[in-house]
Amino acid sequence: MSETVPQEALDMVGKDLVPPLTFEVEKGAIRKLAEAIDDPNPLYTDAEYAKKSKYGANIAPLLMVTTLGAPELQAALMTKIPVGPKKNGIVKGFDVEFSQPLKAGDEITVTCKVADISGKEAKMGFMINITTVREFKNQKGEVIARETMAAARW
Amino acid sequence: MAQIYYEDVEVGAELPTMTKKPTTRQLVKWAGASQDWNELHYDKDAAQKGGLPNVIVQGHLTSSFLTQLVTDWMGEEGFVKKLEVKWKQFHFPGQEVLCKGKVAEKLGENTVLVDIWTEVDGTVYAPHKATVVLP
Repeated sequence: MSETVPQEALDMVGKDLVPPLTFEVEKGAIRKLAEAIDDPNPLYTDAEYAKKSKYGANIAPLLMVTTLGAPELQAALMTKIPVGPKKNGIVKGFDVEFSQPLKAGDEITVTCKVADISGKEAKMGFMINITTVREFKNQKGEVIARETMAAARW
Repeated sequence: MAQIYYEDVEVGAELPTMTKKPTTRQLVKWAGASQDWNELHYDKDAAQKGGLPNVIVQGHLTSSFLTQLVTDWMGEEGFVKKLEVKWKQFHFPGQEVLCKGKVAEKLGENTVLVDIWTEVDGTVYAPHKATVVLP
């Protein structure tokens, strides 16, 4: 009989993979991330410049929002989904829809749900494909970004 | 920062190529800034145990190079509405990574679809797409 996805894994669809986490976005953290990219955009690091921009405050490099809670997500992908004796895991890619930039002083709550789990025979063996959806809400309860990530375990 | 306008954009137009040469120091800075402490990005022994020749550049750092390309091009009045990220191969420190882009489609309502990708020696490593709203 060919391999199938364990029922316990399928039962996780629709459930939280990581409990909600809240992060305060500090100006210094934005600066460090911009420096790591080597991106000199003054909107990220120059408070006076940013104050005069349409945003009124320093904003963060685009993908900083998705780094919030990312280590917790990576760990949960490897430990929280009952996939049987599969040791390997990889994030294949992700899409992010943005509705507003992440700003210095924002308090962001990240939720992470399992959206889909399916199995597929591949060159490396039977792969379990996992889709997660994370929502990033600011202190006003507005969704500022929504990420859909495709990962696999095998 | 120069501003680009929807009416001036043509399909097929190329974004100015940006070159990055990631270093292990940069990988460690990103690890600290993003709190992603996966050893594959700073511990060569761990990377080699995992079958890799060297530490690898974080996928999010690679993608951030490409978002820098787009945000520099679109100007302050532009807004990235959607980013589609795909990594085909790992980048390694020391590589000369070309970040390139091309306008793929004008979608109407001041929105353009831009293909963006990293390239080393003519090979595409990370093909992304950005949906950008322009003034």
